[in-house]
Amino acid sequence: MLAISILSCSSDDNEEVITGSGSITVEFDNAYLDSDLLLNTSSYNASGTEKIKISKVKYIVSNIKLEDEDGHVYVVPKNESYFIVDESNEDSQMIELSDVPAANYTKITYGLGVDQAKYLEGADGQGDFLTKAQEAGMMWSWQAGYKFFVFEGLYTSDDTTTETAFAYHMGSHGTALDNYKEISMTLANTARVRTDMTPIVHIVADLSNTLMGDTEFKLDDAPQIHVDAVKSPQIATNVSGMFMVHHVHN
Amino acid sequence: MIKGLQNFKVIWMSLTLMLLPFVNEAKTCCSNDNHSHSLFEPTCDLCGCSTSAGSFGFGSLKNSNFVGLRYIYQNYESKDGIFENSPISKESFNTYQIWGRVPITESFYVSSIIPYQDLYRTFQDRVEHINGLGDMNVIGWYQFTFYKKQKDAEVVFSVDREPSGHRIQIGIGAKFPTGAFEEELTDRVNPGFQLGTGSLDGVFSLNHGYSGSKIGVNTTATYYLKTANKNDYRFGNQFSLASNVYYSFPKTTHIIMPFVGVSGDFYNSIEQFGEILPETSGESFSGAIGSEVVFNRFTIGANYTFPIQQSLFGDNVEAINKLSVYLNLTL
Repeated sequence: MLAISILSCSSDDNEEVITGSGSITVEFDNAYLDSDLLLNTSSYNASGTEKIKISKVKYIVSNIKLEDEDGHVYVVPKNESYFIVDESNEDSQMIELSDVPAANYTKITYGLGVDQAKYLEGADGQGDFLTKAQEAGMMWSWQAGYKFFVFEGLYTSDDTTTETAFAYHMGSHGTALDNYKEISMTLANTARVRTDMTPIVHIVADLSNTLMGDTEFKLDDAPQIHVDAVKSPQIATNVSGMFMVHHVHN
Repeated sequence: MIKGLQNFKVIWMSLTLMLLPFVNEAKTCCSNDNHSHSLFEPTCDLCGCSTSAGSFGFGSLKNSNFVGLRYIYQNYESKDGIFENSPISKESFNTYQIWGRVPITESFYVSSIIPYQDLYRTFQDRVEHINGLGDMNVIGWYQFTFYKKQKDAEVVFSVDREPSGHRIQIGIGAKFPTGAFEEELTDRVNPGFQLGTGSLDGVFSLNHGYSGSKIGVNTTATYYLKTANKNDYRFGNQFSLASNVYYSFPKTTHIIMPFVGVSGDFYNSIEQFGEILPETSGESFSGAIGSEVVFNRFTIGANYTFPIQQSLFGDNVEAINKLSVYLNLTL
C-alpha cells in the first residue's frame, strides 16, 4: 500500500506549458588541468620540462546560440553577442543573457573571436565593442583586427632557467586569415529557462590546452606568437578545444 | 562502482565466514533471550539527508521496546568548488533525536525517530549554520521468531516452545518531509547539507538477528526509495547493508555489551527534473565499535563509526567520522 502510494506521488511535468521569457547565465570558469586557474601565484606544468606562471588570460566569446529539446534555436541578437572574458575580472566571467524564450535548452553554440562578417561591417558596425576591445587590449590595430585570445606569463625550463616572458596572441589577420572558431556543446543536463528560473551553464575552460592541445607548443621554441600564418590557426584549434560544460545549475 | 562492489563482496563474505561459528553455536542456550536488537541498521543516509534519522539504525542492542534520547555527531570535508585545488569546507552535523519502539502485538511493533538538526559548515571565510526539525520516520515491523525443533524422545515440560535465538524482522515505513529543504543549498558540492530532503520516502528493511547466551549477531539490509520534492529534486535511492556482533558480560548490577560492526552504503545519483546530476552517486564502507551498558530498565550506548573506504559525490565529499550516544528506557 505504502509503496503504491509513494510511487504514485512521483510527479510528471511533461505536460508543463512553457511560456514567456527569462534569463540565463553562461559562466566561463578558467582552469589549468584539474585546478582552478590562479593568476601569477601558481606554477603549472607545460610541455616537457617547462613550467609556467600565467599573468593574463582573455578571450572573446561571441554569437551565442541556444538550442532547446525540440530543436528550436534561439540566437542572441548579433549586436549584443560579443563578450570579453577576462580572468582578472570576475564579472566578465558571468555572461548574462536576458529576454531568452522560456524553454528547456540542451545545447549551446558560441564563437571564439570575431567572425569575418562582423569585421567586414567596418569600424562603425562594431558599435561599442570596438572601444571595449581596445580598452581590454584585445586589438592589434583596425587593419590587423581583434585579438581573439591573449595568454601571457612567465616560464622556466631546463634550458631557460631564469623566468622569461611568454605571450600568445591569436586572432584573424584582417581578412587574410580567418581564425574564428565555432564551439558547440551538449549540456550535461537541460538548462530550464523560465520567467522565474535563471539557470547557470557552468563552462570550464582548461587553459593547458593552449600549449598542450592538438598541437604541442614549446615556449623554448617560440615564447612569443602574435601573427603567424602557420601557428595561429594551430593555437586557434587548441584553444577552441579547451571548453567543456561541467554542469548546469537550474 | 564495480570495483567497490567487488570489495564489498569480499568484506561481506569474510564477515559471513567469521560469523558462521556463532550461528552454529545456537544450541545450549537456556536463557529465554527473546530480546530484539537491530542497532546496525543503515549507518548513514548521506545522500539525501546526511543527517537523516536512519543514521545508526532504528533500535538498540537488546531492548525490544523502549523510548530514548540519542545524540549523533558527524563530520565531513567537502570541496567548496569543482576543482582539485578548490578550498575545503568542514561540516559538522549535530542531531538530537527522540526515538523509540512500541509493541502493537506480540509480533508487530512500530519504531519512530524524531530528529532535531543543528548543522554547521565552515568555509575559509565564513560559517553557515542551519538548525531545526529534521525528517522523522515511522516504520512498522513484523517479527518472525524461530523455535527449536522438539526431538521425538524429548519430554516436554513446558507448553512454551523454546526459541532458537533466530528471528527475522521485516520493516516497511516512511520518512516524512518534516525538515526544511532549501533549494539554494543544492548549489554546494555537498548536497547533504540540509535539514531534510523535502520528500516523502519509503523505507524497506529486512533484518536477521541471532541472540545466544553470550553472543548476538545482527544483519540488516535496507532500501530507501526516494521521491522528488517540490523543487523536482530527487535524492538517489539508497541501499544499505550492515552487520554487527556483540558479546555480553553480565555483572551483578549491570550487563556490558561491547560490539563491532561493518556496513556498506550505496547511493544512486541525484536527479533534478528527471535528469541525473553528475557526480552525485557514491558508496561508502564503514567500521563501527561501541558498547552498551544495561542496568535496571536503562540502557546507555555509545557507537563510533569510521570510514574504511568511500567514494562520495565524485570524491568531493569525505566522511571523517561519526559518534552517537544514547540513553534508553525499556518499556
